Amino acid sequence: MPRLESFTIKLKTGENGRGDIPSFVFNGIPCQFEQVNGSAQSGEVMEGFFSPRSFTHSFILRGPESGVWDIESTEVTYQVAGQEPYSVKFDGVQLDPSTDLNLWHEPPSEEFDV
Amino acid sequence: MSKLFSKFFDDGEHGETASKAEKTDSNSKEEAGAQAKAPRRVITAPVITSDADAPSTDEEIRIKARVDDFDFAQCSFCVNQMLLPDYSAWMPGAESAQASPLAQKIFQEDGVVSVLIHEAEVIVERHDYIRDQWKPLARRIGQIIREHLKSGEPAIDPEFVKGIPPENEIKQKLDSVLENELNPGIAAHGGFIELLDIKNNTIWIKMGGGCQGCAASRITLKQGVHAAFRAAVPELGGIFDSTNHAAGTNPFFASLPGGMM
Repeated sequence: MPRLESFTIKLKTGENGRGDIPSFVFNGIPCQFEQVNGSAQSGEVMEGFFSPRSFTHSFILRGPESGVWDIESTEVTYQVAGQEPYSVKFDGVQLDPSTDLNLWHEPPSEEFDV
Repeated sequence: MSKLFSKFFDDGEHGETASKAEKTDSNSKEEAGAQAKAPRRVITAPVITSDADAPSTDEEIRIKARVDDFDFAQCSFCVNQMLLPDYSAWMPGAESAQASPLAQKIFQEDGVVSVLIHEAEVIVERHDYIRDQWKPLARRIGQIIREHLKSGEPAIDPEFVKGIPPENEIKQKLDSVLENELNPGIAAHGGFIELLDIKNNTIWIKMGGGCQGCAASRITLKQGVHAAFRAAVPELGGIFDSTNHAAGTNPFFASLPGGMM
């Protein structure tokens, strides 16, 4: 598993939003996004940043405390030690108080044209 | 945008892939409050890929080589043209490649031990496994594939698929191997192997319990699962492991005594 230096996240909320700022759990430790712009209310886009500087064992977005949260799309840009940054865009999901979303995606494999 | 549905990519025993369409939970706050006390689960959203990753209909032949992240002996060649639609052909040596003029040419390269052709992909395995040494051979194999496609000759003799048993017959045999040979053995390590999906003679499996994340899972897969399955069904093509080993919650090495790994 690579060392995640930092990441940015862009969350686009669909029909059902939430009034609070979402949080995440990195390697079992609850964390808050930094440099937050926007919100997770219905139809809004929220951007955040964090610098874990740690090897990634687990990286999950917490579901809402109550109700449901429709995420239309999630885009994460990972800055991993010793590699170029890479972005992964996840499709829509619905989270609730018992459901979290995996935010970790391994760096893409090296490909070359032959 | 096209979507790569990560159908088999989950996050451990409680994980699952979900989409908005699949979820039917009520929106009511009362129910949500009740759910708050339920065990948490982690879902994995499908990854959205760009159109550039999708198969193309370009006339120009484009081939991308990618060395397997976990098995440096293997390199896959993704072609923007279909080679063997809906089936796969595994050839463990030149003598087994009679039905494939393309594989016969690839076997002429030094060190190639097996060739798997599956839809628009060719997976080549070689003897040595130093990752950085793949590029020269990969370029030669790319050239072989390109020239073969330009020749108009099929990658596999069309008669090949006629010799493949029906899917349900293959599944019955593999289920029997799992039930009677493989799973009783690896159950001692707290693991299990599941047949997730089958498409003609191509299968996708998942390793769970103590196998998920176990450092020896690759050996179990290649020397145990592959060997047993291929002995039962010689016409079996691709065997793809859909396990997300990084999400293993109880790999076997974690329970070895004395912290042995």
